[in-house]
Amino acid sequence: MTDARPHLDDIRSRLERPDLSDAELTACLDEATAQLGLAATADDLLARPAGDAELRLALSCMALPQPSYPMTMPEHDLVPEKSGRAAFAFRKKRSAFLPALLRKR
Amino acid sequence: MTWTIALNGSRNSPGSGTGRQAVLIRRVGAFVLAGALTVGAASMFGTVAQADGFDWVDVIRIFLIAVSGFWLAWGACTAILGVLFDPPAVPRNEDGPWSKTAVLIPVYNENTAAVFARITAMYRSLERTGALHLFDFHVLSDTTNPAIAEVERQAWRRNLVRLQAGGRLYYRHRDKNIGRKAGNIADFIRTSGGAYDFMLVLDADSLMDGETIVEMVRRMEAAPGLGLLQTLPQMIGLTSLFGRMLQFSAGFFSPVFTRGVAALQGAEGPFWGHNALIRVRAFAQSCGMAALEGKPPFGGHILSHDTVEAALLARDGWQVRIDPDLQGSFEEGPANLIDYAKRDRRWCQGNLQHIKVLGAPRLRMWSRIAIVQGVFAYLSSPVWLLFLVASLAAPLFAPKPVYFDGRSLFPVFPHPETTVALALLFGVGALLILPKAMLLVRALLKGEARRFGGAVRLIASMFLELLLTSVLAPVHMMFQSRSVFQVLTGGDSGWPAADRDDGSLPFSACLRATWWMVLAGAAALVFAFEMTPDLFWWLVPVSVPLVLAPGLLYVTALPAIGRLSRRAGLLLTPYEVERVRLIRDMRVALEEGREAAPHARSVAAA
Repeated sequence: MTDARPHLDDIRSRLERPDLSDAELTACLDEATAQLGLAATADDLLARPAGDAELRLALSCMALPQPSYPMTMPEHDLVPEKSGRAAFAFRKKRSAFLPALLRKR
Repeated sequence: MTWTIALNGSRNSPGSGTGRQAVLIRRVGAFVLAGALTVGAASMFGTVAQADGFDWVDVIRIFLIAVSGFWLAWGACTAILGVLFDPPAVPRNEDGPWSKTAVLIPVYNENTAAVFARITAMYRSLERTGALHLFDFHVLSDTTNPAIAEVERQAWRRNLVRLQAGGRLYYRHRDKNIGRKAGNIADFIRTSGGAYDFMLVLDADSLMDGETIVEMVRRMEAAPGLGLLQTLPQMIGLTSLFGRMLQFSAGFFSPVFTRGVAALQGAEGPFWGHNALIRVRAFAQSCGMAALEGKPPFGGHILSHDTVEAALLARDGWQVRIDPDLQGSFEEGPANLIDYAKRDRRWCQGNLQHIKVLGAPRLRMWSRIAIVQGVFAYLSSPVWLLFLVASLAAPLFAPKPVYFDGRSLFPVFPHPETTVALALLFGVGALLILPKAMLLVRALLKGEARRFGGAVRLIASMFLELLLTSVLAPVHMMFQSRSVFQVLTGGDSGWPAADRDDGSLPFSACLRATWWMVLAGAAALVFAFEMTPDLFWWLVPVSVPLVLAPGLLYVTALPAIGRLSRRAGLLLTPYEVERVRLIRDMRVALEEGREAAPHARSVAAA
């Protein structure tokens, strides 16, 4: 049997998906062959030459997972500026500013 | 691999110095004109109000008319600027495109066949540009119904085979829709954002032409400081009279109004949440939003995230721009007034929540003004309603007339300021109609009328639109006022089910949605007739549509009436007159998809 690795590297390069592992690619190819109703398995297809029509068809229909290229997205606080904060703080503590008789007991 | 982003100090400053000055002059000019018109209206109303004596109710009425008048005048100024303003040419990358772009389609319990039909049409359209290899489609599902989620998965796999889109079409389902749409997009960025330069954010009902998408990428490539590029989506696919009226308004008035918005935008343009291209790095750096303190409706996750995201991008020095010349951007809309009001209720809550964001640090002044405009888009209705109620009540509080004030031997009779009142009424009418009339003249002079079925049909369509919007305005005012009241009190009385496929409504649903308006309209008429007969005829244009509200909702939702208007050549849009391949492809794909997959609603029902 031909080594499938050069094929897989070539597929990753063509798909621009270096993040996909061999196992993931093979599983996706297996799934695609089943979806297309092909008799061959992923291993059978990977053993064929790169230009094989069935291999190309299966590759063009693969259901791949989303690219894994995480990006940080910090959460920004949208609380008001200093004057606003002061107003909010005053609102929270307003009982302290009230005369003793008017405070809630 | 994690891509960490640092602030880039060497970004291009958005807009040249001359450009910024021109924007400043336009902004100040619009404010001064709107302010002057407001002062004029308030002073005229003051003259009318003091005719029967001046009291505290009149002070309230003058304040309310000043607030409403400014809102009206500001809208008119924006529209007039749109007629007069010619947007400058924008740079584009002639060699491109070369940037990798993700097309994001967030879905939430949608009609799956329709979603994938739009994707198919856009995919084919991009294929025709020869730039498909630069684009990946991502269906980001927040669907909560497991049966619909399964239909989505099946449709994805079927379309992968049909389009041979392996490695180009992705599907991801979130079990918990934390943060709703904003959380959905943020989740994509945190998972896959590093793989793309730009992202085209769509709604489930968005449809965009491949040429337009490629043009947007070229423009963004040519402007390194551009963080977000918004298009004006045109409404398509509506068949009811109400829907066709919306389509016509969006097709005829919105492009010019958008040019007015562009004239005032500077570097702080709008973001409407979809049909916009965004620089992923800028968005990731600036637009992550923590939930607001407190409970809903004002606390929790920000619902109308788009306006805030535009403000956050501008805050970090990224340009946010709308290009009114971009065509080929579409969306669908509500087919009837109940669906429209339901959508409005959601947007109302989101916009009112922005009150809490107004004081956020470092926001640009124009961004804060845009937020206030968004809030006022909903507060204007209760302000009008309060004005009407105060005007009805005013004669009851008016001081008794003094016929002999001691300065004259002869009695002094109150002077009814009917002329001034009529002048004010015509002034308000002119503010509403003048921009539309200017657009009509412009379309006739520039030969644009043929895109709307010709000059005669365009004029007739405009009169029909004016009539329909005037009659439906009081109903809309009542729905919006109720929405504001519900948001402020934390309640929601619910909506009758109105989910027929063609958008039509059973009369019972119309009655359930508007019975309270019928009562309010009838009560106002009886009150005016008995207590303030001078105001009776002034009140008729508002109260009669309220009394007739169930019938108006029912008739305007009928597809048969809509079809009749189309056969008569009324309310035509360019996308009905001209054949658009993208729309045709979408309809063909929808038919094929419907045959292949069950309707999402029937799945949900099952």
